[in-house]
Amino acid sequence: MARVVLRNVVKNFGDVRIVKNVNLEIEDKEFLVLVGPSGCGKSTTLRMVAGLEDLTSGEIIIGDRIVNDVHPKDRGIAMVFQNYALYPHMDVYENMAFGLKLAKMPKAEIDKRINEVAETLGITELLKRKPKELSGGQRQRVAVGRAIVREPDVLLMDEPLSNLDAKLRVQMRTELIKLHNRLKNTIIYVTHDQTEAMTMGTRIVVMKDGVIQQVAAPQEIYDKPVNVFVAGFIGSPTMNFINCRVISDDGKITLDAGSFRLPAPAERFTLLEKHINKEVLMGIRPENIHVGENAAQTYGDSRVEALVEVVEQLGSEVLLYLKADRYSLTVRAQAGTRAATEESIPVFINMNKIHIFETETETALF
Amino acid sequence: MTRNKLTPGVFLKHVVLMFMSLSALFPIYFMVITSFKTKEEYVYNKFNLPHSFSFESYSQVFSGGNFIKWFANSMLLTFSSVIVVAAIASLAAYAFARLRFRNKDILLNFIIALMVVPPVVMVIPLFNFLVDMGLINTMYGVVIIYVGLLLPFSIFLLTSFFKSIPTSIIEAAYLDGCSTLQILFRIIIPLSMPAFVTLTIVNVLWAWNELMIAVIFLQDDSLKTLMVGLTAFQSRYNLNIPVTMAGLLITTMTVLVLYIFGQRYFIKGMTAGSVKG
Ligand SMILES: Nc1ncnc2c1ncn2[C@@H]1O[C@H](COP(=O)(O)OP(=O)(O)OP(=O)(O)O)[C@@H](O)[C@H]1O
Ligand SMILES: [Mg+2]
Repeated sequence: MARVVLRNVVKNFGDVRIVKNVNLEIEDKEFLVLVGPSGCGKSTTLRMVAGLEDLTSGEIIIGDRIVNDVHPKDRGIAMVFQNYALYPHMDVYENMAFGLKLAKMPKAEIDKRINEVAETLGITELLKRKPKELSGGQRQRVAVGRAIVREPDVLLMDEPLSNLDAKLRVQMRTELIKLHNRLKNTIIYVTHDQTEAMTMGTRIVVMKDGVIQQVAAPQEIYDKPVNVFVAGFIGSPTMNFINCRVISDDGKITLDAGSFRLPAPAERFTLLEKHINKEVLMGIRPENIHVGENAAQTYGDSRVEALVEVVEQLGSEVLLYLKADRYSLTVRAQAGTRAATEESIPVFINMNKIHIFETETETALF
Repeated sequence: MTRNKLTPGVFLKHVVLMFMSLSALFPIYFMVITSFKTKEEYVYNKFNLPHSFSFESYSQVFSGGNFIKWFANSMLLTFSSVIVVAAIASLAAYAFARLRFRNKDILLNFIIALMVVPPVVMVIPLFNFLVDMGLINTMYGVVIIYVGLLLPFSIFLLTSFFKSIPTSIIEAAYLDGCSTLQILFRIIIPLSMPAFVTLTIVNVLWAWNELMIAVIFLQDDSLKTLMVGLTAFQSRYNLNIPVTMAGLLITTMTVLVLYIFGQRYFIKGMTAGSVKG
């Protein structure tokens, strides 16, 4: 078992800097999820840990060794590829045995390990099949099996679920979590799907343009995003953003959005005082905007008139897509909420849940 | 299945196709029937089935031992060239498809461009070269020439096939602990069997049927190939067409058998299923 440390890791492709000075400490037994938009350098980072790409500068430590110059097979890692990358000419058993045979493991030991892993993953009946005779989900399992049969200290996965259909993906998600609970190895998991990141990770790393934006536990990332990018990337539907001017009147602080004004919560006054008469960006998650009678009573003084554009009945909840002034607002409302499109309705913002970001730097005040 | 209506256009198409198949098959038909005729029957019965059905021509082909000698020479020459070509081409194609080195594309394009050079323009330089090397009138000399002529296309074919193998499979093998050569022998070559079979068939056909270089560079009687021998056959047994046909039929059958055995590997889809369905 091992922890993994990335220290000032930089990767250039030609003249283009793809990974920019990444520093990261991954604890032993951690399930770390690397998430970010397409092209942000997640795969490149993972591949450097695997040893498939050289570092331009910096160092990578696995366990207590600097592994920059260590061959991948000696790094104690295994990788699950997005497209599974099974060997087409070998059956499932041979696929799993291949790495072990190359490492000159005795036959009996190989046999024992493969049977154990196959049992764990429920692929025992598939051992004699070729990859082309497997379904997508089965191939995925075999790919995971081929990786864990080597008993790696660190398991690397690059979007392993993205080729599965939605239902299977949810199922495999929980299976991978269970697997991690049982095997207790360190996992670095790359995805661009924020739901996967939220549900699977013990910690999440959000990346953008080769720079780490935030590293934190899922709930913390969700509750306390450090900047506009993270706030907008994590959470679905995404956070609503409203440009406001901070105004002080009568010892109170108000956020002026043009056609409507919202009272800032009292405990945030000290933080906001420095920004009086400045533009800021307010963020509010869809579940913190409310509709209906009860909301009117609780959050009466943060009322916004909004035009209903789309109503999505999801069964367990209702998503309202609204327009208030020039802002699009998404509201997550209780099941049974009624609203007609083109109708104007009042919505109420829970001001205790707002986030404020500086306009120029896009970093969070709170 | 819907049946095509027999419009004049379709009718014409079928007539043309039938005519083309028949004209392609006719020489084979002629070869087969003639080889089973006696010399005497052939005089009055040129194109009909043989009445007598004689194996005399065949026994004549094999008598004297020359035919067997030529056959063995052709076999030796063809298979050693094809094997050497496969070995060199797979190493070269691996480098072109998978390794990084300077001027790779220029070099590959240069090699591919060599395909268009007709062998006949190289005969005189090659002759001088082999004389200098002391390899004139030897199997080695001709194997070297055959290998040189077959390599450009072989490298080209294998390079494009190797490139089509998903990179992630090769990376997976690398992570599993394969060395560069192990990746070639345990992953790439097994996955490229269809390409190798195609290549072998094409190369065998070429080498087996090659006449010009064999005539010029193997003048010693004991070194003659089947093709060279059969040409001589024709002049020596000028009037004995059935014997010539029997020799030709055996020559053709040899490569035909190889083709039929190889054909099942032509079926593609070896890589199907390894990466996402
Ligand atoms: N071998 C390479 N040569 C040149 N550029 C590369 C190479 N590999 C990746 N890149 C570039 O590096 C950037 C980051 O790529 P990377 O694959 O790490 O992105 P990613 O975050 O994994 O994206 P995705 O979610 O689409 O997989 C991309 O802009 C890509 O074009
Ligand atoms: Mg990627």
